[in-house]
Amino acid sequence: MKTNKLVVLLIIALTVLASCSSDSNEPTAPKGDYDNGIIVTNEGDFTGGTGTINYISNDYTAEEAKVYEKVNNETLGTIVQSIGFDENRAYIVVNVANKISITDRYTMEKLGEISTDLSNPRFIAFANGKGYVTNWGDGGSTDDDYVAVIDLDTNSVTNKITVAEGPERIIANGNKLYVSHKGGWGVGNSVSVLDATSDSVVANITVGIAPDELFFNSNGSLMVSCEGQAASTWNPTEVLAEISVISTGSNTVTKTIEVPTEVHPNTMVKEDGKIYFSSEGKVYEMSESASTYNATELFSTPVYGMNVREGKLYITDAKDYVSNGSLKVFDISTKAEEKEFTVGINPGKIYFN
Amino acid sequence: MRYKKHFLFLFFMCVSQFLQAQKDSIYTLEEVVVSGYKLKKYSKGYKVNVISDSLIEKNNESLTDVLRFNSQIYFKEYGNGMISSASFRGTTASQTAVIWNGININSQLNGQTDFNTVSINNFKEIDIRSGGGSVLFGTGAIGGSIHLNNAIEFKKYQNFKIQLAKGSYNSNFIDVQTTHSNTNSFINFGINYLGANNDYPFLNSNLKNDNGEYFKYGFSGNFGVKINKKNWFKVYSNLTLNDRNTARSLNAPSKAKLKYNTIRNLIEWNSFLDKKQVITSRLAYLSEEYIYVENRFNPDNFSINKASTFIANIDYQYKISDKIDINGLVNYESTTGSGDDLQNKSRNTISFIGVLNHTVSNVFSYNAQLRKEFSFTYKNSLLYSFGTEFKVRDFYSILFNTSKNFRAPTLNDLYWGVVGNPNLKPENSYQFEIGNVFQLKKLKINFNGFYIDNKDLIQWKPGESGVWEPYNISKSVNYGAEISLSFNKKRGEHQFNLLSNYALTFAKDTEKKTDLIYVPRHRINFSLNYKINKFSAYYQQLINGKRKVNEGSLEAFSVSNIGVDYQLKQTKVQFTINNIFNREYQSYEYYPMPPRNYQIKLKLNI
Repeated sequence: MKTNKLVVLLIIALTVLASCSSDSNEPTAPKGDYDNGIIVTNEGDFTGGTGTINYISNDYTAEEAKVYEKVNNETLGTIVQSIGFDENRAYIVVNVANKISITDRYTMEKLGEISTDLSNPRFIAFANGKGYVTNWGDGGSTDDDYVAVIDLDTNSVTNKITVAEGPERIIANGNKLYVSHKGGWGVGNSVSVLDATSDSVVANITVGIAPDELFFNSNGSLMVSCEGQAASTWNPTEVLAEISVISTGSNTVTKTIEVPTEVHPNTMVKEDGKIYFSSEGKVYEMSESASTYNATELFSTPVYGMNVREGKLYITDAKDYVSNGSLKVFDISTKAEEKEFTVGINPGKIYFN
Repeated sequence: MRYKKHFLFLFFMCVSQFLQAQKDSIYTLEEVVVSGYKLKKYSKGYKVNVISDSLIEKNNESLTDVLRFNSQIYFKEYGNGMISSASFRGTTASQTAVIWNGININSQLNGQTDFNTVSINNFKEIDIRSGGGSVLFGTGAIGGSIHLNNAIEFKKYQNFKIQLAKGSYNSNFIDVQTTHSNTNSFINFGINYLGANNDYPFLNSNLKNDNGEYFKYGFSGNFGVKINKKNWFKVYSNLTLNDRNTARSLNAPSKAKLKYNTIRNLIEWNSFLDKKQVITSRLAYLSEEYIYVENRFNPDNFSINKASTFIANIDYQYKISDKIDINGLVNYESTTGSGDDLQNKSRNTISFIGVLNHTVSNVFSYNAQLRKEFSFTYKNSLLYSFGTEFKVRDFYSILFNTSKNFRAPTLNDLYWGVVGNPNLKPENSYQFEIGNVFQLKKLKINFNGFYIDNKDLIQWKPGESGVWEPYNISKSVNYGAEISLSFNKKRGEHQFNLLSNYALTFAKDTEKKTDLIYVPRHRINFSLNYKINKFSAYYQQLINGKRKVNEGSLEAFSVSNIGVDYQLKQTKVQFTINNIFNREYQSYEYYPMPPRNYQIKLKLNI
């Protein structure tokens, strides 16, 4: 879900910064114990507990739990929300602990920490040499939400850009940043566009209900997964989901793919022109260029977090939410479950190192 | 999503779905006063331990600490002074009933008592009754019940008492009480305050207990009057205001606040028809409110939820002969919840209770009880309790009891937002216990084994849409053994007294086939008391075994306190050192308890 955005973001960041993207073509020595593998962030127990990180090597031969604690001899904090990668650094966003722990991406050794001026931080992206972190502020307050601007040299918050309620995902494209307003404790329906030169909001685009995952399609348009609202005891009237497609040139919605009743996409990820998402324990596949909804169901499995790489879906199951969850690997072409690993409590995100 | 907010709040109100427990207690050097409502008589075959007021005074004005060091009950405390819930014989936080002058005062919202919100200073004694007591004490009396008793006694007595204490981390305590009574009337007023910055450093960490500040105000008034020989009126009244921040954990800071305020009023009328018949009528009104502030620097943004309860009951007691007496009791209870997260709904129940107490011979006696409760909200089955005592020798008795008990779904369970589940059943529990009592001149030993089978336990878990909802899903079995010991010795001016409790507890989730979290398998505490003339001293120690937590376990710990006091005419000076060996310990994972700390207390009796 969140992962694919970050992967996209990373690729963009690498391209933009003209860094060593060619390295991937030739075999290289591992850059640390946690290179060449899968990183799973576990949110952890809500009640005073700590989130943790699991590592699984790409060849599945090595597995390690509580990686951060082992390397740094400290806990990460309550609710590990997400990781953003900038070159060799990993920015681990810890939501309830109101901090970001900065580590070497491959060794997981701690390099620094940002623990002031964050309030309910969610996700981080990078543009114009700076970090941008979405913050809900107090969940019960609708006017204290912001994007914190991070000086990556001093690891401090230098500016706060006030935005609409509930800023969730954030991704960058050149000097522009896109923020989905899922809504925090409420329900949002917009995407903000930020300029990384002036550090200001340049547009707020209305999209579907509860926008969450964001990514750029092959045409460079921004696709936004808007979950809508399933009918439930909470919400007796269903609000249909949609996928909004935004032209980054005009900052307008150019296409809306309406999702049929009872499907509410979650954890949307993209690879090779295909998008994958889950809804109510089912995993779907659809072409990113579809003009109308034509998703096909792949298989059923509980989904807490999801990512895709090289034709495989990596899906976490939070099980009972109080004990260890698992990571399952599915082959998309055969729809078969290939492997299952035990990971930590509430495994939210999957990244590839 | 909106439900996240509701869930967050719910978490603060309902801190544990699944805990563990222990229990037991203490006899002191000083005289023990038996409580007014004949707890002992209705507890044949059950273990009842009494903590006297002199012992209550030793533990820093905290009911959690008093029970932690003087009983076998385990407490899950989110840092010193914070939310504290009991686990009695390995049962859940809502399976220990707290009974105030005979009335069940567990929160109607979450079914638990937060033991750090109870002002303890005006209680004459605290009784700990192990085992099931739902027939007499209602919902939640499964692991056991804690009885907080004010004594209204018609005898000539006058007292004016002031207590002042000052402790580490800017802890301050003031208690003023006055009592005037004679053979026809009784009046008692009390007011107390307890507050602390509570910002103690965490051992082995560079953090401190930020946002741990609390204040507690308690007011109480108790009155009694004998209208004539046959008609006695008693009024018990209590108001408590708790203003408390919620302390940080090792893993996250906090800026939240949780206030909890309660009002409790009880009117009792004893009507002695003749030498054999008594009718006791009671009316009670209880109210409580929780106020949760997400960010105390923005106090206008808060949620409030409250409940009020009205109780009326009539108890008819008839002494058929010297050996047989019976009771018939009708109890009506109506509880209404309201607030930001609760549907405005009432829960009404009417119960019929019958009790037979029979002393068959000098060596054999029993007590049988039945309760049928009718509720407009849920179905409840017939509850029973049977206890018996067999005196094998002068110094040795065997006790046995078995009972069926329940824990009613709370207002939160039934009516929380739209996720409350009005179709919930009560939790059901069957249990039995065998006890041995050895009573020698200076030594008393209780040895008990218990077995509890819990069904339909209510747990909150994410439903199909990912929203947390309550279900009757889990089952558990708890069993174990307990030893309590008290030993007294007097030699000349020297008095010694040793009290100790050991509990071995197994508590298993029989569906998941795992141990329940936060149940120490082994737990032992003891206190040594010494007195000579006007000087006395004590040493207390608690050794608490390892506890399973969600993943992994929480280390065992040992914590010790010492205290000395000196009586100078009407003034008593007491000095206490808590956690004298400066040990790091946690009763809830990642919420460290205080390091070594000090308190000095002055007590004036006029």
